[in-house]
Amino acid sequence: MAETKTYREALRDAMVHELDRDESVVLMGEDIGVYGGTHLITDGLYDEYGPKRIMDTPISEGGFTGAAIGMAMLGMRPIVEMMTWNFSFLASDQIIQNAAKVRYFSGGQVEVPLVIRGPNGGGVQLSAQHTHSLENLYGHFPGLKVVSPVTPNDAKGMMLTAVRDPNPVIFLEAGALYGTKGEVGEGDNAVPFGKARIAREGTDVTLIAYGRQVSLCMRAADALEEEDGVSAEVIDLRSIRPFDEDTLVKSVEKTHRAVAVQEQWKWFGVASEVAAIIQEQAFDYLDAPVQRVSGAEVPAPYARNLELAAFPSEKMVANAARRTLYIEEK
Amino acid sequence: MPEVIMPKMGDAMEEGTLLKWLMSEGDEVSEGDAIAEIETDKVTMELEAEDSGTLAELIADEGQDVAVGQPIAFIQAEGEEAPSRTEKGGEAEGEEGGGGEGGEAPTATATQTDAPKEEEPEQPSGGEQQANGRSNGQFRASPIVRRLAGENDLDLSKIEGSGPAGRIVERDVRAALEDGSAKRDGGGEEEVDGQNGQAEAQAQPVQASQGSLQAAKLPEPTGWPGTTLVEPTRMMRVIGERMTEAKQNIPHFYATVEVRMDNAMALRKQLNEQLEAEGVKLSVNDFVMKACAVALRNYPNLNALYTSKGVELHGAVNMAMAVALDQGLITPVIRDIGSKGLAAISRESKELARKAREGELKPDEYQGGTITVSNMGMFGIESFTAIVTPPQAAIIAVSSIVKRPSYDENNEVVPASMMKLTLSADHRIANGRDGALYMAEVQKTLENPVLLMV
Repeated sequence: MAETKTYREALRDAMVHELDRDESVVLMGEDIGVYGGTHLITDGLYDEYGPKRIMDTPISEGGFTGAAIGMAMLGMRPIVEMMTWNFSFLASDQIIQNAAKVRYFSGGQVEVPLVIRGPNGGGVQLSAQHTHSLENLYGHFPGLKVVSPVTPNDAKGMMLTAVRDPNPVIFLEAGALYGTKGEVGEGDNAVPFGKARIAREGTDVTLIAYGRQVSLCMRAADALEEEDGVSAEVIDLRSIRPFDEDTLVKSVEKTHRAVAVQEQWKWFGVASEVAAIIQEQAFDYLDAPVQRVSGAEVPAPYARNLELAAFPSEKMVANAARRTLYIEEK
Repeated sequence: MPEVIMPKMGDAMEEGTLLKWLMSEGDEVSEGDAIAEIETDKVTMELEAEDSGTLAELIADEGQDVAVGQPIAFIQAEGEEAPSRTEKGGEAEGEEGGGGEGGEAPTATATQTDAPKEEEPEQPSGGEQQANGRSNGQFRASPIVRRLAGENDLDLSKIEGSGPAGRIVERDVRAALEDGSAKRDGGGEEEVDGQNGQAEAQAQPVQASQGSLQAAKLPEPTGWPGTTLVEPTRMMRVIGERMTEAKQNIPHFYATVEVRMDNAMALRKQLNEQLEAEGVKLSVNDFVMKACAVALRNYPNLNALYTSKGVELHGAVNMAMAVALDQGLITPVIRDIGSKGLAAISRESKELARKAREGELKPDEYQGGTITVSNMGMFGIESFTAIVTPPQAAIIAVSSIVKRPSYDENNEVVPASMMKLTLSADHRIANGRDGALYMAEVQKTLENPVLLMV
């Protein structure tokens, strides 16, 4: 059974599901309780579950994240909202130095079943300090899991998996897509980490993305089909760590060409990792160098026209695919 | 020091034979001097020096096949030092040894100072420069191409790369797999079958022809008394290969008409008397060629080329005319014959035939035909059929004019001069109806030769 829901509702469904299932699950964050959350993700939960399970925190990311880590170490399962991931820089010492390492330091005796969630990336004119894509930053550290769902169904299913995971999970939501709708599986539709989704099957070129850029790749694939008769496969990575190398490699073995797309800056990004994995594991199948499509190397602009110019476009993705096919760019 | 290289004298030319040196090492040469005789699959011609100086070194031996672009000699300008002795230039005969990789330029300075025909301007920097980027087994090819080549036993040297800097990419290999043109030599019996009909586009015509000889599992010579073993000339091998391909790959159909030539003969006689002072003597073939061209106006799909991207219809008629040579034949081309008058056609066809016999045709004089006429009328032939020359759509076989009894409008028996014309055409391009209607049009034009004037 499936129902059409927004990305926002799907997230809320997942948290409600886990709040009901497990008494140790609590929500923490700025304005998530009485106010219902800046992005209304937790709207209504305070009334239903009360202040002991839906906790409003001070504006102190380092403080409440550290508190959540301590709670998790003692057996609670906190879900912490970062109002946006941009504010996690203040909490990054707690996340990287403690959350990611406690289990290791304790020889496996102490787990940190913590979820930190919030909107990631840009596209809604929030300017340079409020527009970051941090998947590569957090994906860099062993001990953290990093996921980035794009469909409402995955938003719910991966949140279920995140809450149940015994390790800290960096849950990067496609903030610009909170209002988008999609079919969402009812009940327990947990989606495993480390398994990419083939969003569109194709034979000529593989477009690889995660989060909001998957939608871009789907549109680029349509354009390629219509204008060039090219059949593009689109892979939604879903999780950055763990990373599904097999699906990626199998696809490129089939299509012989790949384009990696990310909103973040080109250097040291996820697309670079994708390109490296492909050349390591599918070298003999490649017909062209792997192309990367990334954000412009500038702090995110505020002006709409400049913001659009700074992020990957459907045209950039389609043209990168055309380069791998040795056909004319448009 | 300037190299003298094997010139490329036609699109399909991959190598040529150095027949004979006309000068010796140490001779002084001036620009324009003939220094060697070169035989290609089409012609034998003299190779002229492009520089002046001393003929410092003859690299190629007489009789040796040399790949296009490979050096065959060096010309030393005054004050220059002779290059260090290098390996022989050609590698077509599979020579081993000789102190280096085949095709390597003799010294870096030699190519840098004055390499006359460097084909790829972008050479990798450092190390020895390659006179030809594809000559030493190095190719730009994508990984999947190398994998496919290995799995399918393909020779990448036979594949033209369509990617950046000539990179061979997957689509090039797929195309080669489809037409079978890049099979490694000696690979098996499918070599001939796999050949594509477009002979001009195929690489390595000579190797392919040798391959086909082997592939057919021909019997050993008997060696009986009274027999002589003759090795086919390059021209014969190539003709054999191309005609085999054409006959196997082009679905031929034929249409014959018998044309009453009395009117044309009378007009010819009359015109030749008028034009005698100008030294013009029109031949029957001039009339036939002109009539074939005029009649094509309404049948564009017989003046067409079968190309990789479809049938290319041509407006202008470039008439190829078969000229028999002692060792084969060649088809020089009269360009846009439809716009030329009989006298001009006559002059041009005579000149081309003379050049053909004397081996003086240049590539642009025997390439680019859109239809062919082959005339064996002078041999007393009643009728014959010809093989379509790819990628052309059609060829017309012209037979002898024979005097026969015929009925006139009063059913009286009268003598008539009759000539048979047989069209051979590619059924992929045209249908029988087109061929029949076209031949009827040719017949009408020749029987009413005043139509040649319009």
